[in-house]
Amino acid sequence: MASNRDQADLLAAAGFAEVEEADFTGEFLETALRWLRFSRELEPALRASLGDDVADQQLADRTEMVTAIEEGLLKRSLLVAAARPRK
Amino acid sequence: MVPSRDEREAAALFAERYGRPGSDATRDLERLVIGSDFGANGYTTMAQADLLVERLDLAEGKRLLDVGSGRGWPGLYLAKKSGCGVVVTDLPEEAMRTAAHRAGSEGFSDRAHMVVASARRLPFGTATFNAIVHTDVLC
Repeated sequence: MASNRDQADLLAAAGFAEVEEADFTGEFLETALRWLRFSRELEPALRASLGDDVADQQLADRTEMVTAIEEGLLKRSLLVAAARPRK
Repeated sequence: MVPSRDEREAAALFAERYGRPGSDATRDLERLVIGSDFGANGYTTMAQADLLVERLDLAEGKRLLDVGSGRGWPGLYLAKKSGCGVVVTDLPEEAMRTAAHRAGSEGFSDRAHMVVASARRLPFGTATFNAIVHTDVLC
């Protein structure tokens, strides 16, 4: 979920408790790099099935994503929370 | 309720994206990148999905909601792996049709349900689900 608000705060505001957050930005970058790497390796087949416009856009999006993560603009977390007990 | 402009634009974008059938190339790409073949294009890997099964204590008899599931990743996989029931939701009808087809082909359509809905206005009652997951949702 993309947001400029603290995710843990959002969960608390929504009524969740015991919020645990683990940073997964490293894995996020690895996955984004894999999307880019394998998109390039499979580019001929992807272009044939998606068409040039879509293939170009996806490559551009993937490249932009890697850049955004590497520049610290995006991070990824796993947040786990429990619903507050109902009275 | 009338969809907002953002929702209409998102629905149009996703209809174009999810209306496009998968190909061998796109399935190969997904398998290479995240290890799945559910038509996903996000960043939740198979290993991370397995972690969700454990962290959410998913099991037979429990009910999971996947908000913004696209074609069903990871909600359908979590249901397949754990035996739980699942409701997957998203805006594009095409994505929900693909998810329904996948649940049927995997043999668990009796415990997998698809609902076209905005995450801003989910049509479910309080305490309907044991767990809720959302990954790579655009807001």
